[in-house]
Amino acid sequence: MSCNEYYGLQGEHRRQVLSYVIGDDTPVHVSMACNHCLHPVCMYVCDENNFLKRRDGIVVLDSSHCKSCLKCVEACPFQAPKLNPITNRVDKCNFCVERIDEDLRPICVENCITGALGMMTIDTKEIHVNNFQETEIPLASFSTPTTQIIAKEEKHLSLREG
Amino acid sequence: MKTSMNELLLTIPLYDLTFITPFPKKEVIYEQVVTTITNEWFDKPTLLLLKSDVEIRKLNVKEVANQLIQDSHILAIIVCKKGRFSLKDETFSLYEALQIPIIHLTGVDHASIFFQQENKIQRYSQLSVEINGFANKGFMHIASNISFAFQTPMIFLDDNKQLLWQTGDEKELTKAQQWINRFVNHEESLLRNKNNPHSNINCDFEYYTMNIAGKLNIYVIVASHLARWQKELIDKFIGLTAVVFQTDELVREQNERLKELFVYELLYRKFESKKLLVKQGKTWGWNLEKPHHLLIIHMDEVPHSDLNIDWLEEMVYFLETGKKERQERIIVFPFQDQVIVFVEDDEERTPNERINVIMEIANWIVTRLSEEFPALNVQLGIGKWYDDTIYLNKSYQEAKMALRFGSTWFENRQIFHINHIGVHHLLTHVHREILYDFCKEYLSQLIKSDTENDTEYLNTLKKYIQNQGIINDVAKALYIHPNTLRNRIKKIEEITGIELQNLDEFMNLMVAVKVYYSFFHKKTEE
Repeated sequence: MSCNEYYGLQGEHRRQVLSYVIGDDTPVHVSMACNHCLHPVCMYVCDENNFLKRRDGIVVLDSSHCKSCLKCVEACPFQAPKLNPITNRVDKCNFCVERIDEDLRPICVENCITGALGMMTIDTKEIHVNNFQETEIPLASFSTPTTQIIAKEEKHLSLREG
Repeated sequence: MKTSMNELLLTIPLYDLTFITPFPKKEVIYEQVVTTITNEWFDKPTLLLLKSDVEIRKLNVKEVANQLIQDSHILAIIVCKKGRFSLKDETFSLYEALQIPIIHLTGVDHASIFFQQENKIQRYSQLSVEINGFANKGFMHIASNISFAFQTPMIFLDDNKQLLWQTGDEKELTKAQQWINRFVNHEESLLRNKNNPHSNINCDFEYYTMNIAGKLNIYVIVASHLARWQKELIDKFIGLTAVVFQTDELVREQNERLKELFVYELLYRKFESKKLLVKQGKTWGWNLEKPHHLLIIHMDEVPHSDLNIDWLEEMVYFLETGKKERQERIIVFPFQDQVIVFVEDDEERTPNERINVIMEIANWIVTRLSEEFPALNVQLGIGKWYDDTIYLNKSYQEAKMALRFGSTWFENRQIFHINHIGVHHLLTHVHREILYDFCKEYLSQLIKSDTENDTEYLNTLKKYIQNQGIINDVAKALYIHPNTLRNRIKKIEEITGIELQNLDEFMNLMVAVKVYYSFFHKKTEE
């Protein structure tokens, strides 16, 4: 994964592909990392107060004070925080904030060869409305994830974006 | 050489001028400037310019005043003095009655202007100094003095033609108000009046427009009978006032933006430096040195008929004014479609006492808001109290969770404290898949039946738990007959194989129902 390569991660993946079967045995695969929830449970459960939500909505973990209690790992409905076996601290997708601050796209979006991953600015009111309600994917929505999942278009060719 | 005093007055900064007596419309043209008062009569039009304290004091001597008012060559008196200057009532009456204009000039350096044979006018290069002095003296003070000197009312109206402030003689103000009612409220007439000076419309008054930061307009109504130089001076006053207002508006906007940023940081991140947090808080008058409770006021729905009302601002204003009736120090501000309330609490209390205190305040807030805004459905979420304000972000997240779980489960309540949501708080720490499996194990058959046969088993169970299993209360909540409810419960027991009277089994089912409604229930299913 480009993310692992970019950050030199070993033994863990910030992004994972979840597979579900919905409706009439239709397989669905969702590439998922942190959903940068509107009401992040990780912020709520972290006793060390290590999470922050930026004004642009990105939930950032500062793991320098992490004590590996793993509460966030257990509580996150999307399994975004994971224990990094090398540092023995929790690590999660920070939406490449350092790239965002330089006006660049996250590395996963940049390198996705099918253009399945993208980023866009959305209004918080829109998040309340969508909020996985329309999808048949059994994902918890109580934390109000900001990720928008759009169903694959029929006969859509997988071409590299741009 | 003849010199017009009126023209020179326009070149002096407004904040340095104070009209002690009314100033006539007629142009004052003098031929000499005299700096001392003698017993002799003057032989040509004279401007008396007094600088020394001895000469200035003479103005308050009745005999001197009598002599001056009888000397037809004295056109005006200028008192150059840095500090305060005033006339005694009896001498003031004399000068006023005989219409001798007296001006107090605090900027003594400007006195030289009146001696110059050739006018060396610097109207704009000293603008920054003039604006600064104007702002320090205050537009109200200057406006009142101009109004007195030129015998004109001055009325300030906002964009909606609502009165902001006014000064002047009461009778004249009444007349001006009548004029406003007749003409300003009908803008077309007003514009016609402005564009066509020969129109038949009553022209006792006219208005100036100030534009503030390109956003709002302020209208100033003054008498229209003034002389050209008086109008020029008022025009200068309006321009300076607009600049001062605009600066204030820009500073206010900037402060609002900074406040917004600070509040966001406070609620979404842990401040590494308490000192910085306290310092920034002080900018807005908040004492964040002491610990605070955090409450979120949430409005469910805004009445459609009142969409144009900013309910958040209304609530903040109401709570700001209402908090005076209580002893507590309360900070109120709007944030992300909700209202946030901080309540200072640094007393030594047991945890229970602390919860009771904040619940009592929350009850007061809900009661007062419900009385004031009966159309709004208000809910309150309360986070834990921490002994340090750097944890207000934790408290904020907890208050949001309390609101979220509380409003899902305790539908008939309005206040939710994080410590009262019980098992929900525990469940947030459990892995979602475990919860999902647990829920599925107990409820899958009921969910299937509800989806396929439109039964209401899950809702029935929810109401059963919420009403502590009291059949009559549950039936009432579901709008069904108690016997119908008994039948339905029997069917639930058959489907799940659980006896609701068996406490252990019921506990499991209750947790499963709570998990379902809190984590996996989609509102669209209702």
